[in-house]
Amino acid sequence: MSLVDGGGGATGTGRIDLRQVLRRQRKDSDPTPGDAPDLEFEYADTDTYAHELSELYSYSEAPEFYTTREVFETCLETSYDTSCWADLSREQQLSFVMSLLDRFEVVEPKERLEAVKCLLYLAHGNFAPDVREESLEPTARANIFMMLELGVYCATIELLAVEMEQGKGVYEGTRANITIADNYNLRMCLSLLYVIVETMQRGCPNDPPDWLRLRKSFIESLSEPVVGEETLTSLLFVMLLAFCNGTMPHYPIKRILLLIWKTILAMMGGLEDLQEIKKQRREVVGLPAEFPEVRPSRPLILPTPAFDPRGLIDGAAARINRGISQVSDTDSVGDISISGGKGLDFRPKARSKDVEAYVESCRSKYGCFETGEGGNELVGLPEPIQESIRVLQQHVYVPLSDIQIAEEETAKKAQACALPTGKPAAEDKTEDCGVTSLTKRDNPTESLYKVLLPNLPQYMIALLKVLLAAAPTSRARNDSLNILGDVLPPEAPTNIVETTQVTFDVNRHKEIIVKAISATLLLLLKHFKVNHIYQFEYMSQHLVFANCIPLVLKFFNQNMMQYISARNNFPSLNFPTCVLLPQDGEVTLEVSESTTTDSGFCWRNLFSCINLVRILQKLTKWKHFRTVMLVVFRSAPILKRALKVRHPMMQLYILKLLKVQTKYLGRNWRRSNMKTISAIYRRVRHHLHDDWAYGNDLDARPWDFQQQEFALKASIEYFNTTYYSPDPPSLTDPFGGKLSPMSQNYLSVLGKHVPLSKAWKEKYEEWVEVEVFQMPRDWDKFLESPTHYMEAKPMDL
Amino acid sequence: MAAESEQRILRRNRPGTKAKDFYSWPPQDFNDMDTILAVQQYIQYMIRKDHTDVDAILEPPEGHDDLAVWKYEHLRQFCLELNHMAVRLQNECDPVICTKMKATEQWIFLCAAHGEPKECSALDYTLHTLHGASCLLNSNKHFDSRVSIRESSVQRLGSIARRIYRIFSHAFFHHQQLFAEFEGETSLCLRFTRFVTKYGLMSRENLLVPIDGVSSPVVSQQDEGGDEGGDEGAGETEA
Repeated sequence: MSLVDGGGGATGTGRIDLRQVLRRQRKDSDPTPGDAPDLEFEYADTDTYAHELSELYSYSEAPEFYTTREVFETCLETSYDTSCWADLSREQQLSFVMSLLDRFEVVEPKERLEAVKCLLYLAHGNFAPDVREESLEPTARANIFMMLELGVYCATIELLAVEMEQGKGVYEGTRANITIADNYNLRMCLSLLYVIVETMQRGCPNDPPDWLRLRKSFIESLSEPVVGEETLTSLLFVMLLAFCNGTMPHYPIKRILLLIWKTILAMMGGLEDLQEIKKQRREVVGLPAEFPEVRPSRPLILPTPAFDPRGLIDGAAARINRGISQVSDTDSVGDISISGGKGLDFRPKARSKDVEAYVESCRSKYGCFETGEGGNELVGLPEPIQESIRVLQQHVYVPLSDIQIAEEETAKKAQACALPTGKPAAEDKTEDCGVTSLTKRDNPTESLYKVLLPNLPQYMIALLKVLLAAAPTSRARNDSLNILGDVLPPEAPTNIVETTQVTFDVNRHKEIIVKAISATLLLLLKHFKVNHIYQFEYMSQHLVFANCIPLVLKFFNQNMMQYISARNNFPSLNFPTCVLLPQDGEVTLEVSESTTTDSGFCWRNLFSCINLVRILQKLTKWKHFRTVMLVVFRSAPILKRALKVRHPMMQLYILKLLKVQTKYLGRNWRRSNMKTISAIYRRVRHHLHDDWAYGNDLDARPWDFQQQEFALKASIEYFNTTYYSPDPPSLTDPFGGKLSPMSQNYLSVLGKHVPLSKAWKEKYEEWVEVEVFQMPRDWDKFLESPTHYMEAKPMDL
Repeated sequence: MAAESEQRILRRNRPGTKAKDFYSWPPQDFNDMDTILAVQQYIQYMIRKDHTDVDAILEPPEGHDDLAVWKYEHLRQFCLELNHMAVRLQNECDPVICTKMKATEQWIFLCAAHGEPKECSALDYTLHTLHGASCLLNSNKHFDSRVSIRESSVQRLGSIARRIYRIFSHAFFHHQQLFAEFEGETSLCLRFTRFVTKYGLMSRENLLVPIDGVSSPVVSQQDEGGDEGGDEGAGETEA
C-alpha cells in the first residue's frame, strides 16, 4: 500500500490521470470512514499514580501481595498484640518502623526480607479487602513520609547494595529459566524504593509544611551519594550494565528501568519544570523567554483543494476526506477572504544562519559586493530588500544552543591565547554568565551529567539493547537479552487461562519496559539540551552511534493502530484492585472488561510512541547528516503508516520528520503524497527561507556528513575534557607539543642561546667596528619608537 | 568581652600537664562560648562535671534551639567515648571466641562499614563501626557544617545510633565485667539509652541492655542474668 519509492504512478501513458491521483490520495488517508475523533490522550510526564503503581507489578506477582500483608500482621502481633496499624499510637508506629530498620542489617537474608515486606505493605497504604481504594493513597502517603523521616530511604538503598551482590556468578551464562523466584529479594527492595520515589515525585498541594520540607530535601538528596560515592542513579545504571553484559541476568530489569525513570524525573523535574528552567536560562543570557506567537492579523490563505484556480477538480472530489487536517470542512469554493480561525496556527520562525545567508546573497546579487562573513549590515542594499530583511529579522528565533555554542567558541579561542594557568579561560570569568560558568553551576542536571559521563556510551548501548529486546517487532534471537526474568512465574502454566495470562503478562511487561526507556531517554535529552547543548550532543551522538535511529524505525515498522489499541490488561489483576477484592484464587478470562475501560487506546503505548518519535526528531533536528540516515533507512513509508494514529501531537512529530526528508525523497514521492505535504504545510511550523519542499540541492554530498559528524564529535570532546576531566587540560597543539606564548621578558630573551655561524664568529669584530661604533645611532630615539629605527639598512656580512 | 580583656583565660591543656590536672579551668557559660564548637565544649564540660547526671547532660542549654545539631554533637561525643570501651574490648573480645556480632541469640548483625557488608567478628564490628561512624560524622559531603545539619543527613543519625548501640548490647551480654566497670566510670550506656529514647532515634524494642527501665528482652540468654535496673551485673563473661 505504500506509494513511495518513485510513486507507482502514471503507468507510462504520460498523462496524469487526476482521478487516479485522487484515488491514491484517498487510499493514502485514514481508512476509517467519516471523521473519527482524535484520541483523547493528554501527553503528560506520567500516567496516574494508581496506574504507575500497578505497572510496577506483573500479574504473576499478584499472589505476593498477600504474603506482605501476612508478614506485616504477624510482626505487628508479636510486638504489639494487634494487627491493626491504626490502633497504634504515633510513637508506637515510629518505634515499630525503627525496629524494622534494625533488621535490615541482620545476617540472615530471610529476616531482612521480612522487614522489607512489612515496610512495603506500609508503603502501599495498608490494603485489606475491606479498605476503600480512595483511602489507600492518602494512607500510603502518610506512611511514606513517616518512613522517610526515619531514614528508610537510605537504609533501603544500602540493603539494595547488599542484595545486588547476591547471586554473583550463580546465574552467569545461564540463558533461560530465570523466573520471578530468582530475584525475589531484589524485587522487594526495588519495589519499596520505587513506591517511595513515585510518591515523592508527585507534589500535593495539601501537604503540611514539614512534609513539604521533607519532600524538598528528599529530592535534593537524590543527587547526593548514598552508598559510598554512588548516587541512586549511578547504582541503578551499574545494575543495568551488569544485566546487559550477562553477569547478572537475573536482575529484575523492568523495575530497574522504571526506577531510573522516576528517579530522574523526581530529581530534575518534568515538563513544566523544564519550561521554567528554559525560560530562566534564556532570560539570563538576554534572550526573550519565548518565541512570541502573535497571530497575524490577516490570516494566510490556505491552498485547499476547494480553492482551485484551474477548475480541474470537480465538486465531489472537493470534499475529500481530510482526516488528518485540522481545518474545518466549510471551505466554500471561491471564498478567499476567510475570517480568523482559519489561518495557520503558528508564526513562522527564521534561523539567524538563514537570514545571514540571505543577506549575503542579496549583497552579491543586488549590491554587487560580498563581505564574506554574513552579518546583518543592510548598507548598500536597495530599500525593498532592506524591508524584506527587516521582516525576516522580526521572525528570527535565537535558540539557547546558539548562544552556548558561540560562548564555547569564544572560550576556546580565549584559551588558546591565555597564559597556561591550567584552567580554561572560561572559568576565570568572574561574571556569572549562566552559560559558561558551568563549573559553578550546581543543579541536578549538572550533577547527573557528571555521574553519567564516564560511562555514558555504555549506558546508552545498554538502554538500546533492552529496548531492542522489548520491541514488539523483534524476534527472539540467541544472543538477545532475556528480559522476562521478572515476569515468568516459577511454575509453567498448566491450563488455557494461565497460558493466556502469561502471554498477556509478557506483552504488558515489554510494553512497560518500552515506556520506561523511551521516557527516560526523552527526559534526559530534553534536560541536557536546556542545560548545555554539548551535553545533549554528547548523549545524542552516542545514541546515534549505537543505532538508535534504525531501532526506532524498526519499532515503528508495525501496525501502529494495533499497537496503540493493544489490550494486555487484566483489570482484576491490576494493583490495587487485586488486593482489595476478596481472595478467591481464581482468575477468569474476562475479555469483556476491555470494552469498559476507555477511549480505545492504551495509555502507555501511545505515550511510548510519542516519546520515540520525539526522540527521533530531536536526534535529527537541523542535522543533515542524520536526516540522510532517515532517508537511507527508508523511513518515509514507515512514518506515513504511523500517521494513521489519530493524535495531533504524534502526527505533528511524524510530519516534522517527514518534512526534513522531503527534499531527498524525489519529485515522484512529493507528487504522489500531496496530502502529506499539505498536512505538513498546515501543521508544522514554517521556517522562512527553508525550501523543504523543493528539493533544489538534492545530492548534497554524502561524504561531507561523516566529516560533520566528526567535527561535532571533536567539539563535544573538547567540551567534556575542558569541564569534566579530572586533570585540567594543558594547552596542546595537534602535534603533541606544548605551546606557550612567546616570552617577552628581556632577561630570558637575552639569556637565550643564539647559534652563530662560523663566518660571523671570525669576523664579528669588524662588524662591531662598522655597525656599532662608527654608525651614529640615536639610542634615545630607539627607545621611543623602535619601528623608526628598523628602517635603517643592516650591513650584510 | 570586657570581663575577659583584663585577664584572658585560656582554656587549654598545656603540654606537660598531668592527666589528673587536665581540664582544670573555670567553667564558661554556654552563651559566652564564642566558637562554632560551642556545643561540643558544653557537652564535654557537663560530662566532666557529673557523668551520672545524664538528664542534665542531655538537656540542651538555653539559647540553643537547633535540635539536629544537638543530636549530632552528642552522637559525636558518644563515638569519642566509646573508643575507650573499644580499647578495653580489644583485650577481652577475642575474635576466635566472639566470632559473630550478636547480643542475644536472636540476630547476628552485618558490619556495614565495608563496601559489601560482611559478617565481621564482634571486635572487628566494634572497630569498623566506630571508624565508619566517625568517618561519616566527619565527612564533608554529609555533615559539612557544625552549626547546621542538612535534613537528609539528619536521617542518617538514626542508623548510626542503631549500629553503635550493638556494641553496648554485645558488651553487656558477653563481657559483663568489663561492661560493668566501664559503665560505672562513665554511665555511657545509661546516657546513650536515655539519649536515643528522648530523641526518638531508636525503638525501645531494640534496646536490649536492661538499664534505665528497659526490661530484659523476651529472648535472652538464661545464664547472663540481666537484672532490671541494675548496671552492676555479677555475671561472667561468656566462655
